[in-house]
Amino acid sequence: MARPHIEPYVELNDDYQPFTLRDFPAGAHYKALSLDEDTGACSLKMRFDAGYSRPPGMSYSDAELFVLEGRVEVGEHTYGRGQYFFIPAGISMGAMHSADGFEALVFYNDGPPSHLESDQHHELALNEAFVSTNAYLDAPWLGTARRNPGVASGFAVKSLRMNPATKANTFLYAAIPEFIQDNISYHDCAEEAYHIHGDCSMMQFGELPTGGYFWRPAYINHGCFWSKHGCIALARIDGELYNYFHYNPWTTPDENARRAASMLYKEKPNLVEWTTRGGHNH
Amino acid sequence: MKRVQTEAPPLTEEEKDWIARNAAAQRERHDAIVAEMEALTPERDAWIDGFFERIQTRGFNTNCDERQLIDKDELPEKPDRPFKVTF
Repeated sequence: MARPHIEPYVELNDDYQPFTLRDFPAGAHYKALSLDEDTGACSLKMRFDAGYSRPPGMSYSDAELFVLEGRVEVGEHTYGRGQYFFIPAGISMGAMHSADGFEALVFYNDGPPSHLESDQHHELALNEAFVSTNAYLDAPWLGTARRNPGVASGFAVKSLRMNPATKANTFLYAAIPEFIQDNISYHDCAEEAYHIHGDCSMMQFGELPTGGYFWRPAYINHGCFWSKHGCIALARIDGELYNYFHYNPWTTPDENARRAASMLYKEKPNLVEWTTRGGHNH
Repeated sequence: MKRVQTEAPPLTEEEKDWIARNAAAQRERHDAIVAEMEALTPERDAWIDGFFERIQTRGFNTNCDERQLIDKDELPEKPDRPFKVTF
């Protein structure tokens, strides 16, 4: 299996472990939020001690880093809360140093954490896919639906990075206090989120507080939704997100997947026929 | 197409061990979550009752803030099978 359904998980109750994999300097600690048991791809919360230093280097995996607290110097620049990087595999990141330490969410999308010391990009690195932005300062909130049906007012998203081929997306979401949305949702894509601050509740799982996390495979019911004090979270999806809304709390993922397939068939019968036919050759 | 990922060296024993240890911890966490979600059943049943009440009186969010009232006879019946929320 890839990653199991981890929902809800509140990491604040667990201790950091030393991060001692090869080629990573001492002074880093981690909590594994979720892990692909086949490939080692993983979502981590990490803490880097004051004085932490790492030489320039690249990973064999696409990686993402979001600064939760503290400051870190990368090369000649200093970054703080809300800084987001998408680092394509093979891109050499500059030397990293943190005088006072920092906490971050770190994602390795293709394999376990790897760091090959180098001040040169790999010849196959997709340089143009690199993203560096401050999620809190530099990106606009989008309060309207990206695709209908959309979520209720009082819920907004900020896209930080999208894969144009797969529509995989990393984004912030936020809900205002007393947000409520009375439907149950599922998607064709896997979804994960880490609650940076605040609360959001779902009828299946109860309250997801600050430090709450989920990795949710496709077609799993979630909702209705409510937030007492509001929340802000970093989220990722591995494909295009379509909201299948309904009001039956007892459907299974298999039933939801069949409903999604039948809806697609109704809308685009030729596409479904094409995708289910073998021997594509053009 | 050749990618950086396909050029990665085979996983070392240390990396395989790291994956195995974290996978084992994840399986334990998953089992604990499933048990916690089972224990949440009374609260969840009350939330479902409240949801059904609201979609009959205020409506079900069909798209953004558009709402549709659901008649009592349109409400689903709980099937006779174990109910899971974490899979």
